Amino acid sequence: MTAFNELKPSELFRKCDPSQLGFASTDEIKETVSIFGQERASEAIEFGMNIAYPGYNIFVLGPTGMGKREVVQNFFEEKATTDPTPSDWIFVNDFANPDKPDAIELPPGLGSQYQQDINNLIDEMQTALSAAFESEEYQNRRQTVFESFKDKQSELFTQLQENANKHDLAMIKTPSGITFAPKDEEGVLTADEVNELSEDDRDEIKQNIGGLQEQLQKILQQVPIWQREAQDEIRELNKEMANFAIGGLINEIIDKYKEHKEIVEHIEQIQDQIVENADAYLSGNGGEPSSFLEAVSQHSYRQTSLMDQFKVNVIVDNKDLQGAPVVFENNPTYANLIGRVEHYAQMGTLSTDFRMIKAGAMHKANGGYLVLDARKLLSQPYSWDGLKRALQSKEIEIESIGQALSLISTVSLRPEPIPLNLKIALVGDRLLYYLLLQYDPEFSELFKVEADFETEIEWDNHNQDLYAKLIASIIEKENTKPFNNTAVARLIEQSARLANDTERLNTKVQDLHELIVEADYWSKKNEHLHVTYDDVQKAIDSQIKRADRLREKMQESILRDINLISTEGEVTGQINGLSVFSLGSFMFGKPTRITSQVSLGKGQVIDIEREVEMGGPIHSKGVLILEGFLRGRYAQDIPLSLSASLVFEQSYGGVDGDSASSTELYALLSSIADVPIKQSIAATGSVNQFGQVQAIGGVNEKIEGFFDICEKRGLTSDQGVIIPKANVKHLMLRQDIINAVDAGKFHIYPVEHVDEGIEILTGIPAGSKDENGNYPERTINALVKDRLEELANRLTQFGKDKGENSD
Amino acid sequence: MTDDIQPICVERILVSLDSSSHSFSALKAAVELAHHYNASLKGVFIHDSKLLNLANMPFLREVGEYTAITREISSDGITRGMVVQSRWITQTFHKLTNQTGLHGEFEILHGNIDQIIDQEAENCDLLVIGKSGTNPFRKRRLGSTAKMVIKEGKKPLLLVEENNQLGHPIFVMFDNSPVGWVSLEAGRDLLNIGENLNILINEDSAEEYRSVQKKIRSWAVEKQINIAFQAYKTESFDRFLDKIFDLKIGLFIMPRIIEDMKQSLIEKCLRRISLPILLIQQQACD
Repeated sequence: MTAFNELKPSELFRKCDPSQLGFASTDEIKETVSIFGQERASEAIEFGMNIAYPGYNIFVLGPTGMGKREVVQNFFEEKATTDPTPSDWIFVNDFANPDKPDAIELPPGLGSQYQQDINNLIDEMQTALSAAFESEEYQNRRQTVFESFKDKQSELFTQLQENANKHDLAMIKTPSGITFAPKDEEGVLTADEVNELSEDDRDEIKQNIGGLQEQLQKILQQVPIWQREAQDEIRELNKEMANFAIGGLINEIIDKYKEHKEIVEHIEQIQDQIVENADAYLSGNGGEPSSFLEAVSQHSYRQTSLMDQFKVNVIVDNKDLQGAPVVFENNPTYANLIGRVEHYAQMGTLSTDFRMIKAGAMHKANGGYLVLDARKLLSQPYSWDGLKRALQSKEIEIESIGQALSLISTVSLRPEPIPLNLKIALVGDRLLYYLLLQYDPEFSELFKVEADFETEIEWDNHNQDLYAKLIASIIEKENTKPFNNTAVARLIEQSARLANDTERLNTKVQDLHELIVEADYWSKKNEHLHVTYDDVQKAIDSQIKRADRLREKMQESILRDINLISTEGEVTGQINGLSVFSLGSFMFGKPTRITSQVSLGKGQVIDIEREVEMGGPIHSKGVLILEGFLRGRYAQDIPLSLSASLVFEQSYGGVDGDSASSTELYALLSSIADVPIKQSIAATGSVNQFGQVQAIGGVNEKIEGFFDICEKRGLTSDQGVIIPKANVKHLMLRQDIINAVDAGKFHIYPVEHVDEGIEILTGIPAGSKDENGNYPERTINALVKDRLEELANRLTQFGKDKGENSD
Repeated sequence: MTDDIQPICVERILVSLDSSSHSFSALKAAVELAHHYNASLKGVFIHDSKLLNLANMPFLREVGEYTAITREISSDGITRGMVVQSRWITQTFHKLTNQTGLHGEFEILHGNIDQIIDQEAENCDLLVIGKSGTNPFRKRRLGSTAKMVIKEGKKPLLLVEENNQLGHPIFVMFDNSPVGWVSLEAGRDLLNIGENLNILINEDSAEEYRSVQKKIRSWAVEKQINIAFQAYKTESFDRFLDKIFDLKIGLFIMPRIIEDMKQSLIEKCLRRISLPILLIQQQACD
């Protein structure tokens, strides 16, 4: 075995030297780093943030867990401090069109001040109006009007009463009117008594009653006219009193806001409303009923005070803001984004007014920056459309979805739109970005800046230092224990392992963050002063253990010989391939038996996986490449007269990828040459038509997958894995494998060509062509070529025999 | 002298209701008093037999109160109208009593209003009624029922005018009679802590005025209440009435029989005072 090229322990893992880090503990690191290895994305964000043209909004793209949102938010927050503080926005009632509230822009801080001033004004007006309307002067004048009205009524009534008395008639109130009935000294006559009267008497009574009824009708017809006149007089009186009562207060507030034309108009409108409807604004009896009918019909619904319509709804209050706002909306529903008009239930119906208008994230971020999660935005109905509409029209128009789609026809509000000026950053994964780019023509007009996050960066000294600073920054932010340099070194090594590359570091901050927090947990549990190498290793191990159930089950199935994998002996046409499984962020490898059968045929290699539609296109491509290899190498001057079949044994979930194509080729060559393959060796690597072995993914997991099975069955010292040479730089293997390799109990063979691999697997030289195009005897290639020639001859002979028989 | 005089004892209150706004104010006042005295409250609405009689009378027609349209009077129409009114009143009665957690009982009766009230009042300690009835032109005059119970009634009587409310200040017209002392005690009983009881005393005779004042002062000291005197002469009583004319909240307590006073004085009070008036009958101190 040692004759073959195999990797040394030092080539299986790149160690980070703690002594080169330049510190003993992270508490020595003072510099903080929040963004790591993202120069391209940083430049893009910086550009998008500063360019002041429409449509230059930013889409921050990259896998989840990169800290994209935090990065863009940090950029925005830094810039926002130097930006001017945007205006306040308020909504006030439009008294002429209450369904279209007016939006008014005010300098920052003035919105809430105006709201407070109006609230005070309302209180003061109520007091002043009450004082004026309770004054002796008002009460006397009002009483005079009423008395005059009552006197007129009373005078006529007295006359009527006298006339009735004169004719011995009583005036009686019935449930719905007034009637006259004959009476005597003892009271109203009964029907019998009336019937006993002579006809002449009855006629006379009838006539008298008729006359009185006519008089009564005239009086009653006159009453509403007098009532109206009295009401007009009272209204004029009220206007006079109201003007006097609130005039001073109104002038005072107008003077304060004289520079704001719209505010002055609003105050003047309030004055007009109060003067015109003064009696309506009096507190009166506080909603208490004054009759049985009112008491019965009164419901305990929300009583809106008339004064409430003068109030101010501050929807954007930047009073406490220094610079521009930076808003992250975590739940970008249509209403949370664009704003909404809320309703309150009143007697079974929904009512609203301008005070129920609520701001959305776009209002709050207006004049500043808004950060949104693209996936959440797109998964909320109509949010994306609403956002685009606002960006295109450059104004925020609050409109419910029901209104926008004309689904409901109830009267609601249409608040005046507010001009929009803000920078938006959408944060999402690459797939979303490219899908939007392809399918939404408006997207590229509105999000012109692409900030693409790198998933890995080069592992050099500079980046290693930066990474250490990033670790220190997270430690400071999370207030964990300081990490000693061995712990930091282990974190850096793990970063390379996650990048699956000895020359790269993983930039996914979330992974690092989780590992730091978990290592801190183990450190505290173990009562360490600092977080150590062991704590980090424990955190890594426990992360794996938590996600490890499926791997364990699969390994158990192999060890119990339910899933057949041989790790010793030799078998023709059978080889251990290596596949990799991905469960979220956890990946693991597992050996898979691949077998091959050959027979006389028409030169085709059958991929059984493809035939049953369990093989993906890349896998099928790999198998067809094998056919090309066989033709190219062995069937230049003879027909390829075999039929071969390849299968992944006991595979029930489908196969894709070409990382097993070299393995399949080894099995095929073994079948054709009828040479057994050592089952102690597993192989991985894709192959091209010239037999060159190419790099594959997940090399670490694949090696570990086979090692775990061998180790559990007992290492025999001749077990190992063949990997593409191009993958050597990706090796960041577990320490137990390195130890086994060091002890000569396990072997990792890097190969560049299938000839190298087949030699390792069979122990027989592959053989090279001589000048006559022949391979040396007793070599794999010679055996393959001979077998193929034999098959071709048999096919020819078979054709002849068949021809003769048919003759 | 005043040791054996007790305030009126109120355990059962009767409120007689019709559809007028006076009556509604009376109901509210009755509820408040029932609450104060922890008394039971009975409300009655009487279907007036006189009205039903009208329907049987030939040639009678009614004029719509608001429409001024003349129409036939039918027994059915009047009955339906009274049923509707009684429904509103019943609902309101229960609503108000339930809100205050009172024990309230309501009954709809049929017959002659005056007789029924007289009978029902036998079983109560205090009768509450609206000052006027439903007649649209008698807004500020005493209604016929009010007149009857003032004249015939034997129980303390509270008369309430529309839009007026039982409360404070409390005025007591004092005449130095036993009923007058009961009136004072009734006023004291309804007084809030720290408030003045306003006592009106006739000063036509200065000597008598001083003597009465002295008695009341010692009574007030004994009872530990604040009092304020308001002296009046019979001929200047109108001026006092003018002063309290506009009060909408309060209570005016007067003995039904005031010695040495003309009946016209009582009538004047009843006509000119808008506040609820509590008339203490002779029987209350028996």
